[in-house]
Amino acid sequence: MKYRVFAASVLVLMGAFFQSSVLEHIEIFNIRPNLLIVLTVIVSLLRSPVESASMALLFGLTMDILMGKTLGWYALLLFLASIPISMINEKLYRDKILVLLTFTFGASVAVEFLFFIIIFMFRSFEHLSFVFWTIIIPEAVYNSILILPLFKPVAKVYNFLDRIDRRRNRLAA
Amino acid sequence: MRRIFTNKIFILVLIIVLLLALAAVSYSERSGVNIIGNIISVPAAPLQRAFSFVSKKVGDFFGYFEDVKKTQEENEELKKRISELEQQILDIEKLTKENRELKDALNFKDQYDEYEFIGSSIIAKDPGNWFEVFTINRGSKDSIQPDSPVVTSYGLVGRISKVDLLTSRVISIIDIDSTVSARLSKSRDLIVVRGDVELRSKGLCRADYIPPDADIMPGDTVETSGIGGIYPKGIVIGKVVSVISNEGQYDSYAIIQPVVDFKRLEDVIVLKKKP
Repeated sequence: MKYRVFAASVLVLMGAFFQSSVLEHIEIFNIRPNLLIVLTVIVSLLRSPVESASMALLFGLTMDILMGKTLGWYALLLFLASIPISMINEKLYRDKILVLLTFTFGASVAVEFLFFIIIFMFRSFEHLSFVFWTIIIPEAVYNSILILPLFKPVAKVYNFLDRIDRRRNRLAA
Repeated sequence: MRRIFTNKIFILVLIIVLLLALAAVSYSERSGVNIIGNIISVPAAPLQRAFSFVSKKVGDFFGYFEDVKKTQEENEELKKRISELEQQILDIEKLTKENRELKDALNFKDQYDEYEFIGSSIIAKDPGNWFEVFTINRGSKDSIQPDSPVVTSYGLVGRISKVDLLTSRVISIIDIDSTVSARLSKSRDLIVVRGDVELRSKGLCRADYIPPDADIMPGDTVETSGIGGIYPKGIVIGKVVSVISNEGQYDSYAIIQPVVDFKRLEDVIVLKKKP
């Protein structure tokens, strides 16, 4: 359990650090990927609903804190996005590229579209079309590409943690 | 009762309600809940500072080769400019002397006398694609306070929106949540400069509430009006790029090019009110 908490903290802090510093340098057309959405999708594809939802909550809160605006919106959206993915993840061929691309693209569009609705709730929606085609869709494409190199390393870390848990359980028994 | 608390749907609804409550409570920039930002910002600050330093050095290294070519061309141009500027310096010295004499005569108080200047570096930019906020390496330990104006030697950058222990968040004037009471330097007409979701990506902002009879033209300088109590009067915001006229009385708006290049911004100055 201690290893899991440590690994989760490292994953969240690394996500926060990369999202706020490194990704700024790989922007394309002023759009940067959202690493925390990508990590939420990865964890949701690999883990149980409870673990996925908890991690999604942490990733979302991290994103809210980094943005320095209202706390809770990304936490809520990522939390809600993680639940359906994690509930069906065992029925999926999780290593297939198409599965990774579909879920990342879908989750990115849903989360960012709802975020737009929330932040523009008390303003006008006149920019909806502009925002959808110049921010949401490019970011979703970018996130879908980013998941490809990230999925296997994160999966390996979780496999490693599972092996440690199994060994400890055997020793305890 | 215990069955209710182990019910998954109940827990789900409870978390959603708690998150909505958190959003409602933290909506205000001065909310005490925002102190939990320290959980992320304190451990992330040294990493961000280190990365900012390394990426600047790498950028400088590659920029060196590009600069050599440019430098030769600029050198020729600069020699011509030096002779022009020497003449201008003489004029400025004369004007400065006159200005000082006039100020003394009017007992004019310098607008920045009541501010302390705190230099700081940007260590992280906005993590997403929605806002134009950035993090600086000064926080509450440096006595930074929310709503302090942030400037560069060119002009206005924005204001402090949140203060953590080691870092602070700056909301720039092109952010969609930014509104600055401004004035046209030439005609003295009052306008409101605010961020716009479409102009933001181009580093521009817009001016609203332009009076129908306002004398506004492309190239006009826009500066802070001092109204509102956040920004001191007279800080340059930018120049009018174009004016879009509409039929309604206050429907016209102007596109403003800020004097600050937000893409290349590295160091800023926080204006802290002297006690």
